[in-house]
Amino acid sequence: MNPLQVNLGGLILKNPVTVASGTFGFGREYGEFFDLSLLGGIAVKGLTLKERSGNPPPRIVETRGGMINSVGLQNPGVEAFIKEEIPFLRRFDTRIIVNINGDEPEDYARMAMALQEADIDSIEVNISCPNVKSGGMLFGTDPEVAYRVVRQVVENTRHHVMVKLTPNVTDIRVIARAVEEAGAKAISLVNTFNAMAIDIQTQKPVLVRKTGGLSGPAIKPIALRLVYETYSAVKIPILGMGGITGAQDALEFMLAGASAIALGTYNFVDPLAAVKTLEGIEAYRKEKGLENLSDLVGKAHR
Amino acid sequence: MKLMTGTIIENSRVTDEVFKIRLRMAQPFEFSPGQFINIKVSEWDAPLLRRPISISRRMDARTIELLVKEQGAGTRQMRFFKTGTPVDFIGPLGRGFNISGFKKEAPLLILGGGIGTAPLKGLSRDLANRGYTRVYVVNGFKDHPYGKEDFECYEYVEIDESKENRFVTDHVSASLNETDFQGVFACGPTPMLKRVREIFKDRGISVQLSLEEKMACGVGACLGCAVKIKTGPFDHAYKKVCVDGPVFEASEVIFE
Ligand SMILES: Cc1cc2nc3c(=O)[nH]c(=O)nc-3n(C[C@H](O)[C@H](O)[C@H](O)COP(=O)(O)OP(=O)(O)OC[C@H]3O[C@@H](n4cnc5c(N)ncnc54)[C@H](O)[C@@H]3O)c2cc1C
Ligand SMILES: Cc1cc2nc3c(=O)[nH]c(=O)nc-3n(C[C@H](O)[C@H](O)[C@H](O)COP(=O)(O)O)c2cc1C
Ligand code: FES
Repeated sequence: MNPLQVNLGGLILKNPVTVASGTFGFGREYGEFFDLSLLGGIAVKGLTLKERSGNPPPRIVETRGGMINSVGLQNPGVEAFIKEEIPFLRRFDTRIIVNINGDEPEDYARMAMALQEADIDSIEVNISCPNVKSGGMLFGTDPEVAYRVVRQVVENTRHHVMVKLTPNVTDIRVIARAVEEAGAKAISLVNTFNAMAIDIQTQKPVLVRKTGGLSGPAIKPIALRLVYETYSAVKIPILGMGGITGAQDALEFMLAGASAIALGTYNFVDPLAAVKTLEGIEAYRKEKGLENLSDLVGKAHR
Repeated sequence: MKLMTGTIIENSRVTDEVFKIRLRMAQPFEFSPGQFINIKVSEWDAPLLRRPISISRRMDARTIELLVKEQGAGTRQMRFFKTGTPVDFIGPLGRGFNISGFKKEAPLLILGGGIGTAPLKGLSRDLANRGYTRVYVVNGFKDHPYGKEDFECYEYVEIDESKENRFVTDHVSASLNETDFQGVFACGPTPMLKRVREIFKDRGISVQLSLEEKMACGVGACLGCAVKIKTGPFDHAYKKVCVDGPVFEASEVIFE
């Protein structure tokens, strides 16, 4: 058997390295740098029912060890994605993870229905986007709403359902249990942290919507702790992310309880980061003499 | 676009704030004027993100020159890049100036503001090499003009705004009736670009503006570098400066 294979609640990845939604477009750009078939999976840019133009600039601001973004789910809409992007992504031997978003709870079920016949491998229900006026993160901070949104997706799809959680909550375990109960097959976390930057010349927030989502190495220790907590609260597997830059970070997430991991912001810094992470993980597995990489998952809990 | 390595063969002072870097690649390096590269500034990820810098001009088949103005942490570190050390960059990136469709004897106008003059050097040389004989350049500087010797053109006007009470665009407005420009290429601060667009608004000629926006990936993946662009009489969309630009036709740009 392939020693790197992981089972994310029925979604089989050939290796645990994936890339995070919104940091990898639909794969075309980074496909110029390496063979996308090397990846365990690709989470595509967050989609909505209808095309969305996104937020006005500036959309990003760099802060120490990270960046705050306010892209606002700019995307071509789910139909255009199905027609134009799936055929491209299917040319590669990797899992297609479709990040879905909505303004109201019912939008998620509509998205699931729109994707019913599509040739994809997983739906990632994003109830954690901090950069939109309605919906998004609001659904991920209330366990009852989270349950309802996820339940509707599960009832309306034949696909594997994963739920992406926001770290902007008091106790992530409560939300994690709610989505597990609703029928999610896996959980991905974390999305970005609510954050802000202020320009001391204009004396105003840098971003038009004042706050945005913080990502990158700065959030890693907190993301790691959240994965650790979630692991002990639910039985379904975790796709861990938040500030991962290479194999060492990735292995920490696995030890904390992540069955697979995603690189986000660091793709921007090094387009080959995901590939290098995979190489580093494989080297570690051999060095430790592990027959299956998945034996590592959650080991830090002993 | 490719992930590349260049070696610094020169890093020297131009003014107190501006310096130039010459980068040599192992292989011949192709680009067109107006394109840029996205440079990894720090081995230690501080700052984390790459910094976009225009390719100012070609020195030889394997060597390019960059002109950089110190702004913050990233450009400050570039200033201390040592001769002989490797630099990791992604490039060439973006769509540069479109110089097809002009008659060789057509008067063309290049307008630069400060560090915005960087990509225009290469543009002026490219136009000269292709046989355009009437290229006018007007460059404005807040203080200490630089770079005149690197331009190749029919007429070069330099404006030192610290001494003269006028801007590049004032010079252009005043001399407009003398020359019937067929194409305009501009790079500089946003107020200057807005003014350029106003001046040439109803003339039916190509006015190309090189825009700037904060970037994360530089390759079109993050949607961070959005600018509002007209896509029809009543429609607009956010386009990416890094792949759809940085050069846009002025009539399409919506300044926010
Ligand atoms: C396509 C493109 C080509 C460019 N070409 C050149 C060039 O040839 N020479 C040159 O000196 N500079 C160029 N710039 C601008 C350069 O990228 C920024 O000055 C640089 O990223 C600032 O980084 P920093 O860490 O030094 O400053 P920071 O601390 O990041 O910022 C300092 C100041 O610069 C502003 N700034 C930061 N990033 C950008 C950016 N991407 N665009 C505009 N302003 C920014 C900030 O708002 C702040 O006011 C270009 C920018 C773009 C988008
Ligand atoms: C520019 C940008 C855009 C993002 N867009 C999305 C999105 O559309 N949907 C989503 O679920 N997460 C989105 N995210 C969050 C990432 O997928 C990831 O959860 C987060 O950035 C933490 O990982 P990182 O620190 O490795 O980047 C985005 C992040 C960034 C930086
Ligand atoms: S900088 Fe990422 S899309 Fe332009």
